[in-house]
Amino acid sequence: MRFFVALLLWLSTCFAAYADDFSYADFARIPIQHEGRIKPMNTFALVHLERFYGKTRIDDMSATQWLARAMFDPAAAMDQPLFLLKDADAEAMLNLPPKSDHLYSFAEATAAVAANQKLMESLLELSPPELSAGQRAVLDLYENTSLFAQILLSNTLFLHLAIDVPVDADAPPTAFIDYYPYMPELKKSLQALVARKGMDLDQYAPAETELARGLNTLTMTLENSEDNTLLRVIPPTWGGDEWLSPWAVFHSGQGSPETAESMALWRNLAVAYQAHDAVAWQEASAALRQKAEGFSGVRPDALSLEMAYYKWSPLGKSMALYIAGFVLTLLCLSGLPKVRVARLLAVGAVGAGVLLHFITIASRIYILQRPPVGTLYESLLFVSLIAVLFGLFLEFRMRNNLGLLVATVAGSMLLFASQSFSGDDTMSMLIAVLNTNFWLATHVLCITTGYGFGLVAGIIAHVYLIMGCLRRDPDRTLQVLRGGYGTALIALLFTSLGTILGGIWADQSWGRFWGWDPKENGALLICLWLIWLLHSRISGHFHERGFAVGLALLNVVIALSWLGVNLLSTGLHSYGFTDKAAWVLAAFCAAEFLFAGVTWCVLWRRERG
Amino acid sequence: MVKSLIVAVLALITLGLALLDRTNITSDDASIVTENTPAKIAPDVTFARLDGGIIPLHSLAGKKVLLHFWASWCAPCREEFSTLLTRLAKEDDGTILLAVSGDAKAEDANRFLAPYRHNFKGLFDSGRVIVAHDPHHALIEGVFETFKYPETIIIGPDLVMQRKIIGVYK
Amino acid sequence: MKNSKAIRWLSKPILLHWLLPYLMALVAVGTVAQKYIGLFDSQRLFFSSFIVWVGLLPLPGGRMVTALLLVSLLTKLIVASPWRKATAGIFVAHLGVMLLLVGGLITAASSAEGYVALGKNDTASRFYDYHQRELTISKNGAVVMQVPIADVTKGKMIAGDFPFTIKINDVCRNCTMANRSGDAGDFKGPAQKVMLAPLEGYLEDERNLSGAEMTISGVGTYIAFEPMEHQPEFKIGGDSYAVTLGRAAYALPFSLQLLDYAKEVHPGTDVPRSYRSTVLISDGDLHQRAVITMNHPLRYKGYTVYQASFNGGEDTESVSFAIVQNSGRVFPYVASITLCLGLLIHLSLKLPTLIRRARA
Repeated sequence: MRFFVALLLWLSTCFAAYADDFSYADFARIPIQHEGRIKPMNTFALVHLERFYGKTRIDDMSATQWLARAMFDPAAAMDQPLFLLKDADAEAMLNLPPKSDHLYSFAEATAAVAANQKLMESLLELSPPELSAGQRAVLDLYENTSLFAQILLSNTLFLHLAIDVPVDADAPPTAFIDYYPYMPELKKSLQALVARKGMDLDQYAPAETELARGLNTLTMTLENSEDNTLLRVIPPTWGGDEWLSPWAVFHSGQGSPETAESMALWRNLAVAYQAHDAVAWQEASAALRQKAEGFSGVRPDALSLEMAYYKWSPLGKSMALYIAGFVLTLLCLSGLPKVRVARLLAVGAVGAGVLLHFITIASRIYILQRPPVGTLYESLLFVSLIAVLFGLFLEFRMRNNLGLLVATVAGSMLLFASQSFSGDDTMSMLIAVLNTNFWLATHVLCITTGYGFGLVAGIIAHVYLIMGCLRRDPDRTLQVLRGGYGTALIALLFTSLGTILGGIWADQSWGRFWGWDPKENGALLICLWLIWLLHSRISGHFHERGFAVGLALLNVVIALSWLGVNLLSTGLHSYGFTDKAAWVLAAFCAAEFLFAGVTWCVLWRRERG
Repeated sequence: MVKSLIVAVLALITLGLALLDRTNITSDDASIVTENTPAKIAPDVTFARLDGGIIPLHSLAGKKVLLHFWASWCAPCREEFSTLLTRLAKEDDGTILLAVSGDAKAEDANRFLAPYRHNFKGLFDSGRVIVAHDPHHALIEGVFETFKYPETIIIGPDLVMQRKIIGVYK
Repeated sequence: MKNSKAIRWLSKPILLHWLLPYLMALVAVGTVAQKYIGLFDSQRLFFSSFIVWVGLLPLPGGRMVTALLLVSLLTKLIVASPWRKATAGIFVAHLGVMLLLVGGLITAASSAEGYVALGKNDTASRFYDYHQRELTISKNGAVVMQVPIADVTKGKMIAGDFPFTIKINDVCRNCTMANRSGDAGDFKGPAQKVMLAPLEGYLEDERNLSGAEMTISGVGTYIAFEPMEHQPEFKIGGDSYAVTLGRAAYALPFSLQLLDYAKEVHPGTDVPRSYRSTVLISDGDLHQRAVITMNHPLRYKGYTVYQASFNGGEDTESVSFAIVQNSGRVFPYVASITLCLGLLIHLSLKLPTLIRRARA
């Protein structure tokens, strides 16, 4: 409680400054080490703004602008409505006044959290599965306010303080870093003052009051800075690979002539912002960026690429192109005139989409310097690429719009699904056991390829069933199913190989080939399903209709085994999940079962009658 | 014919792998990875001596220098000073202790040093202990970014800053 | 023999047609069950068992299904399938699957798996089972008898090559300690002040702390509790005996000493980046250093030692190694090569036909 009140008091003693029409191009590119990875300031800003606010722009400011204001003008940033809290239970628990836009400023949120300390403590004792949605929202707010507090206080070492205490210095001090050497003397003076006049402020002369207030501000600044480590912008001089925040350099004694240079540049930046000096800001950010690009471990090209990646968002555009392609393909299939134009446009859209999709994955490989299969999100990107590429290949061979249909459906749906699994920074570092390893990379690449082909086979089966129900030309319909059969075979090859490679990786890494882990079981289920369908088709136990329905349901098996295992949250393979993802999955499965049931009945009745 | 061939090939593969598995210790070599950090030369600054005059840092090239930051109001600095001076007395290689005081007033620094000047007179007289004064912290904070005391930077004879000891020298 | 009705029936595809969905259901149920009863128990109930009891109804368990699949495959390949070039790929692929299943059965029957935790400079020549607990009786430091926990039941009398009998008064799979009220009576050691009370088991069996209360004839009543340092120790006629309850131990034919270790985290985070340990293997005259890292285990004399985890604590830090001995290790590798070959052969034979037909 004291901390938060002190924080608010402190923040109000800074000089207010508001700035706009600065150039942020250089500032955005300054590298910062966050979550184990060196990334541009722009990504750092985006990750946090999305986490607090849910979007990538706020009140007409870009994420980077918002971050700069939080860092260099914390007093103003404190009052901006920022934290999104939609859960009504959470609002009630914290006694927050309900708002139509569910947005609370840092000042409001911190006050609420501070007033409910006991609640926070009790919630922190519970383990995550036990929390209700409202309780989780409260804890999230608590965490978010702590994070934002770190950002707000990150530069208090350099920010202009609104205190006026005379000290014997060459130049008049303005920031904490100027006053710090004189703090021992000031403390002595204050002690003498208290000895003479007691603690009653009314007895003091204005200068003496200012001494007391100033020293209090300085002391609070120091106290609140001890854990400020988020803004890791200064590389270590004396060994190790952990970058330091300005306050961390101060407290840990890791200062050196190199860090002194960096700190001086950051101070210039802070001063320029507070003075609303666009020219000085531009110079300071350019100087910082140039210096930082020379730090070891910083790859300027990767930083620029990452900036471009988030600015142009090739993945979003790719998804839009796939959806456009889908609509155009439907037009082709509907038998309307001008089909040739529609087809050309469809192919063009999918082709452009694939190119952007490929660029996305290639960029990620370059930025992260590892194969693109480490997280669930990345596997979704990869599987969709495989499915779309194979769809295009099918189209090239069969030329009957089936391939286009497959590519567009697979591409749009999978990329849409990936939105639910994106989390904070999608470019995250991997834990030790997943760190680059030959067997792991081949296992995941193989099995995701298998998923891709499996989904294509499933989509083909859907097309067959729809064609069958709509009484399309029986020969062409059968042709489609044969395509599905071949694709299923390829899918079986990759999934079974991938599953076994997974076992080999497990054997190499921790000594057992198969452990009945949910993810392993899921992969096994996909293989068994395919084996069952194919064997029973060969032996005649499944007729075309049964085979097609089974193949269509393969999509459900893949979805549950690939994405659904996270719902069980047990075993080595749980990456975590979100409620939204669980609902989307459930809805998808329900829809598929309905489709399968309906088409089965329609075709069965037709065969009988 | 074909089936016997297939079976034979498989048997060979199995045997081969099984034999491979029987090998003795296989593991990576323990290799020590040395960090390739560029040498950091100490900056070319000039300190003001406590008793007047100046001492450029680079003029001490050729000898190992313990660049030590301290202040009279810092409690651990007392113990640290004793430790440093004792070490200096023991080592015969001409190491120099350049002790920079961050005190605002020279009298405070001198008062702190009085007992040491007495007990380690030889070291002070021979010039192996040089005391500097930086009351406005232009060098201590501005150049070396030292905010808390004591801190010691070990500088080699080639003026390379080898390592930093934060706090008390153990 | 070839034409016997039983063999013919076993090789029919209809067996597979019904066995596969059953296996899928078993896997699905076993997987969901893990959320409620934990991995170890679910594995034991559904996958490693021959029979799964649903109320009073016995259903085939994982091992029985695997055995049936193996038999069905064998009979089909040897008895029923004609050996032709066109089905060469399928044949090879099925051979691969069989090898996989055979390997699985060998592993299930013969492997030993466990762990050992070492602090810096500690040496170990035994490793411990993850789950199995046992009661160990030793005389003057040497192990005399090991009783698996399954045999330690309430009321049981244990006797052996030692001058006393042990009567088990109570045993619990997961226990907690409670204060004992009343007078000390016949209780010895910590048993005078505390008693064991059963606790609901954890989902992760490794976290369970087992304990037993036992009366040693002519000596007194003790409690043996896994985490307690003071396990029952007493002297009879000049010999000192100890009765310890802990994880089942297996001997290693060599000893391992931890020389050094390092855990790297991703900078600025708590997320582990890599683990690395340097150990010394001593086996008679052989003393050799080796480095074990995540994904790079040490193999020696049929045992494989893996870097498992790093336990950093306030006072003590230790490194855990997983130790596995598995005779069936080779099979999955051979099986995967075979399976891959088989499917590739089959695809290369079939695919042109399929695509041609699809285009037509």
